[in-house]
Amino acid sequence: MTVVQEQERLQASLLGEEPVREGLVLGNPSVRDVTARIASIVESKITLKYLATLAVTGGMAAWGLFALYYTFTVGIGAWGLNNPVGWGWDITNFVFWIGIGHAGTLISAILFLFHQKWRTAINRSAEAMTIFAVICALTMVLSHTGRPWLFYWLLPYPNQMQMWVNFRSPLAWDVFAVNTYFTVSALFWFVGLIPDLATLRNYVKSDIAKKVYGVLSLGWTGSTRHWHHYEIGYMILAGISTPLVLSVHSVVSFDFTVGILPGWHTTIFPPYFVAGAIFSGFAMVMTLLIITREVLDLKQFITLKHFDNMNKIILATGMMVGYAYAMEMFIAWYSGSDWERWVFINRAMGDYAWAYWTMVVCNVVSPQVYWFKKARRSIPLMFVISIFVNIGMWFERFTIISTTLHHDFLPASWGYYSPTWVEISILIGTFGIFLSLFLLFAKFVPVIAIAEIKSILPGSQPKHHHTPHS
Amino acid sequence: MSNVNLGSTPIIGKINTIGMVLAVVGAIGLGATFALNGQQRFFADYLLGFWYFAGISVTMMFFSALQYLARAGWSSAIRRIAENFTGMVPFLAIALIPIILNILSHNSIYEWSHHDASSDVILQKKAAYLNPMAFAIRMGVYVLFWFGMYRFVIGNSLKQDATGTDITPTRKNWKRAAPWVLVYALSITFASFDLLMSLEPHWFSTIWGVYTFAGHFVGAIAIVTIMTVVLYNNGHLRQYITGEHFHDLGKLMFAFSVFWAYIAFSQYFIIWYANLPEETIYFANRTSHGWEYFGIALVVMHFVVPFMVLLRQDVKRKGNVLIAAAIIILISHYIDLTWIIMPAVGHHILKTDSVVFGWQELTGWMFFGGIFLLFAVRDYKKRSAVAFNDPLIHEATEYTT
Repeated sequence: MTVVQEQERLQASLLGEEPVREGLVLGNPSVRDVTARIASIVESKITLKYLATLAVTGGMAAWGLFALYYTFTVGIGAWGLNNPVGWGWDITNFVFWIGIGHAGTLISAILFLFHQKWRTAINRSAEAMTIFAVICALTMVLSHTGRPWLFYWLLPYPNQMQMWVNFRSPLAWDVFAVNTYFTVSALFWFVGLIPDLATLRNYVKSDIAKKVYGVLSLGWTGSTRHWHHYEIGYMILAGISTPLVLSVHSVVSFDFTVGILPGWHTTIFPPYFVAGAIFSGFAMVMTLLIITREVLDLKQFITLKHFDNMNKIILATGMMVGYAYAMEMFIAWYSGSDWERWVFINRAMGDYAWAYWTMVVCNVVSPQVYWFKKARRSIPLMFVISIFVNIGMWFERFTIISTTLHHDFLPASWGYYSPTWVEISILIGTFGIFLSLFLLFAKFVPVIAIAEIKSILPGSQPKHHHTPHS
Repeated sequence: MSNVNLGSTPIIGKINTIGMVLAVVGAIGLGATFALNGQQRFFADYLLGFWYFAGISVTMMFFSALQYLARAGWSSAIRRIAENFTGMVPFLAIALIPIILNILSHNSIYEWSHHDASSDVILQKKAAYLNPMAFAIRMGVYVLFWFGMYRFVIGNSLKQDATGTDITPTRKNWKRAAPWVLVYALSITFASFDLLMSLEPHWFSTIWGVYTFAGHFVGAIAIVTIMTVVLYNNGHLRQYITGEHFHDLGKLMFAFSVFWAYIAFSQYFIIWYANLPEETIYFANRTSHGWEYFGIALVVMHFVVPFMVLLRQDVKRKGNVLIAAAIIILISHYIDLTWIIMPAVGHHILKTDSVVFGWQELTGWMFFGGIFLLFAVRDYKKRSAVAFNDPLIHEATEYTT
């Protein structure tokens, strides 16, 4: 049966009774087929289409870098920030990108600990996205400091001025949280890559590529000893990454919650931010994976079953985010505090109501279609919804920041914030950096974990009883 | 794979005896509390015991629904153990009646239900939600939701025992577990607002629902773990339960005691750091006059000890260590609820800041604990102790990592 036929049969089976367990790799490939199929992407010639896409995303990145250069030479005044609204798109983008960076570690660490085998086809690209998104987040948070060339002042080190960072400031916690997260995610990704880099070393033809992949694969031979150490190391990294996923966005939420502003200071923020981060991260993985799967023809490995599961996670995390919105609203009323009540009424009906309702529609309403299996398996629909969620999650951070700040305690100083071309350019630039890095990744690194996918081929599990499809 | 009825085994007989003793001693103790310490103390202890086991019973249904939702194979061998602890759910409607009548009498342990609440400006603003009639109606709605979940999720799991290779009941649960999980999330949240948070009527916290859920969930897993190990050690379910199940239950206990700590820390830290009077009052009352020892005990027993004990891989496969960890978690859950309820009742109703804790506080817990066990015994007598017809049962029995 060809992949296409199998896909059609699976689609058709939706009408009748579905199998108890669906296969995760279609077309019943041999171990050799898997290697050849995925490694051939790296070996294939660079096409004009690829270069043209890279030129576009690179152009976006260059434009954003120019806007950053402009910010650094002119100062933060180049942005639209004003007196009540001291945070704008800078922190919105920072939290947005940090959030995107959560899906990778969730898929690779938490789903790994939960023995979710379907993660194997998507973990590699999701982890790569994590790293690229954290790079974008670091760019944003550095640029908002005003004098980013003094970034090392954020690090605690002995110096002749006897000055230390303010350990009571959430900004200092962010530095630790985000850098730890970046380091561990990068390590985790790289460790997972080692066996595949060795596969590429043996597979590629050009001498230079052989050398590069050879050095990167750290002398991997695939011996039992190597695998033994590798598996232990991978498990430990998964264990370390899991609390990290929760802690990073919790620390980011502390940026808001430890203050006393209504709308920011609320106890549900840490878990709510984590759920939102996973939600937005999955949406971004979805957007890029749908394109990658089409372009690189990976339908055999990234099946509708994978998308079905991912959409379930999007629905679940979307509901968690909706739960948090509801709790915030309800408790604002329940608190009996006039300030709390007013801020939330202002959020839903004030100057930024358009942003609030964009957020609610995108994040809470749009994923509701995933209650239906047909919707969870419709590629065009899930592409649209994933973009909705990306937009909605960006607006969530914007809503939190702007609605609380623009009307402060002194009505005389109330204001309204709109970004300038510089801030818009920087956002476009971070997308350019993100997409360019992803394009490079998709070409030069195996987009699917070759060694892991082999472990879920039918028959590769000890005691595996292949359940007959109905 | 066939029906395993453990109703007449010695271990279930023993649990029956324990349940009877607990229920009788608890009932006598509750009566003595009422007679010796008055109505308010009695209702505080009643609430403590009621919500400890009501929360866990309802969360056992959630545990089962979650397995269907995730289509978990591994847990089909132990899912019934959780389901056999849900028997108390229909009984909750009866157990709630004294609490509701008490509130309708305007002299309950809830300050907002008193007549003089109308002179309190903040309570006036909340009166649309915090009033006796609305409370009674909401309790009725929760009970209906929980009964519906019981009938559907647990009902379908039981039907699967009878239908054999026809897996329609399981498919129904696969399809419909998700909405029930949603119902659970909302009902347990608002029930925890009503029953616990409103004991401190001015105080509020958006994370409250998640916080109480974390406690119920880790408590439910601890009880499932104890029962799994006990049944296994008594020679039952040997062809279903493997070392992997021990290991996984240990991992879940580990993970969710850490999760509880994460949520508890988040709530504490945010309130402590911002230091707003209307919020810190909650922790101020609970970290002074002797209540701080309960708080310290929570940090140690609900987080540090389970974390240290369950971190190692090999100990999660040792039944006795699992039981020890589970008991520590169950005691911590008890301390947690005591720490929530008793300072509030002491402060607002009994008008004392010092520690209100004695043998009386054990009576409600014993009474409802006994009932909880007796319902479980009834279920073990009625039905199989394992979901032997579950379509994924072979994944559980052959399960190896």
